[in-house]
Amino acid sequence: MARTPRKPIQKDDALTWAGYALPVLGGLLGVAHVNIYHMDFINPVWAVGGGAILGWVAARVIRKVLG
Amino acid sequence: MAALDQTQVKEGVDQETVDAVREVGTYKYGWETEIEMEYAPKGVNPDIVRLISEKNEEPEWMTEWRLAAFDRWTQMDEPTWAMVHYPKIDFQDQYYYARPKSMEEKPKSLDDVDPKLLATYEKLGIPLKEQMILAGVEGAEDMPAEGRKVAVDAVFDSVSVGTTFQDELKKHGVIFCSISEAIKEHPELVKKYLGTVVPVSDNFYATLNSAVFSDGSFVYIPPGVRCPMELSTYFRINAENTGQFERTLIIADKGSYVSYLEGCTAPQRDTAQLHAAVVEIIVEEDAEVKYSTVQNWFPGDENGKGGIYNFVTKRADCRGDRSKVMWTQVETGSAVTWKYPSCILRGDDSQGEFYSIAITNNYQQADTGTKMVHLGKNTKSRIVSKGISAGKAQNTYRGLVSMHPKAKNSRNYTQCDSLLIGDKCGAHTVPYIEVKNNSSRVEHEATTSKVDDDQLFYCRQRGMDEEEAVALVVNGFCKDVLQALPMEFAMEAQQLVAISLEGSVG
Repeated sequence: MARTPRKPIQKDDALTWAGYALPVLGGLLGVAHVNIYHMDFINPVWAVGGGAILGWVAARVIRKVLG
Repeated sequence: MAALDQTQVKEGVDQETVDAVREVGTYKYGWETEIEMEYAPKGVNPDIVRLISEKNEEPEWMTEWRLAAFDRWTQMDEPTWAMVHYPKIDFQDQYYYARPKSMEEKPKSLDDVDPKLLATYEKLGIPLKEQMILAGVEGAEDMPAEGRKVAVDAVFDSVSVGTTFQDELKKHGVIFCSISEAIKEHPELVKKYLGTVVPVSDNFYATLNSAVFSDGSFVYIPPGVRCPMELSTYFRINAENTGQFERTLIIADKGSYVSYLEGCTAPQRDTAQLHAAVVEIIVEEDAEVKYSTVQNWFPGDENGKGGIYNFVTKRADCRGDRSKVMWTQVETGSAVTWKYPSCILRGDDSQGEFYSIAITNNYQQADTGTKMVHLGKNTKSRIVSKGISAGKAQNTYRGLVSMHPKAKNSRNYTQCDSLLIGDKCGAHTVPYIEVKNNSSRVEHEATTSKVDDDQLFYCRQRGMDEEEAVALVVNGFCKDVLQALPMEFAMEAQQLVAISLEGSVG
């Protein structure tokens, strides 16, 4: 059976993935911040939530600019 | 142990194995170095104070300072508010100064050094190269160092035997030497800072220390310098019936950084010995100091006989804005511990952290904690204290968090957890909280629990014996504090936790 040639990653694919990946990355960065800078006394819930929202906003901006 | 001594060893079992088995469950550093010592007469009086000052070849102003402290001490009463009980100490029935006779003059070569002193360092696990430097051998600094460098100041009874890597540190402008050397070589620094953080009349033991301290360490980090290696002091009590009174002074000038480690051991004896130390840390603007302690003094035997009475005053003064200090301590030894490493957060945005593990087993008693005094704006502090009691031991956390009127928007978080192993031990928590402004926030969390049977059952299902399982659970309980320790100390502390709790179950 002949293999279908792999399609190169399109810009639309990357932008779609950014919408999911950046909020997750933002949340993870929030967790990292809480653990590294524990003297900032940031509530982990706010750090994760804030990171995720910032990630989502970043994804929206990227999509607006490049989409 | 006695049972093992009486047991006949089977044929074919080598001596190493017998020694290894004999060592299990005993205090590893309980041996004594038989070395010729030089003592001051017993007791404490103005003549002894003058004698100690004379032995250290101190200037007149230092002798006067000591005598003033002694005068003050005679008017003070021993504190009784701590939750520790011990027989009354006869302060006139012990030696206040003891040094190896071979240390009368600093040795110039390895041949001049007392071989017993060298053997002591080897047995304590100090690398050979450091051993040469510790013994004061000139030129040993030029030899290649293996692994990560840690400069060591070794204090043996009342004298500092030697300080390693001094020349290399000097190249960076760092001064690391014994306090007796600093009084002679850098009197302007000592005069400026000594007694400014822990005043002479601070408390009974600090005042006694001010009068009779014999040696200790001195550290000065110049502005903007990050100390190129970790600094450490190793305290060893060897002489019988002798108290150790050391003084440590650390000055971190503007924008500097230093990590300082402290370790201590003593021989196993039936009689108690006194250790009263004072540590003063001055942290200037943007400077940072990390101070870690693994306290492993002899804790007394399983019946509470002997051990070290450990009365220590440690305080850091964050004088500059954005200065930081971090205390990390693992307290596993000594029969009685009375110790409250404190932070005075004077500069705006300064930070103080305190991480502590206090393990008490058999008849040990520990009354330990911290004081966080917030004076500057936006100051922050964090306290994580883990207390573990086993056998018939008593463990007390005593902490003060004080927010002064000018300490606007300051924060404190305190977590204080106690773990009980067995039904005859005790854990006590005595937090004092004072908030004198409306914008500061203080949080205090405390838990007391017993070792969870389910966790033990889970571990035992996987082939661990009960002691291993308890050690694993306790190490997990202490994880937050162990993570704050430098790598070498963390490994040692982890093993120490397990050893300290040997015999606490079953």
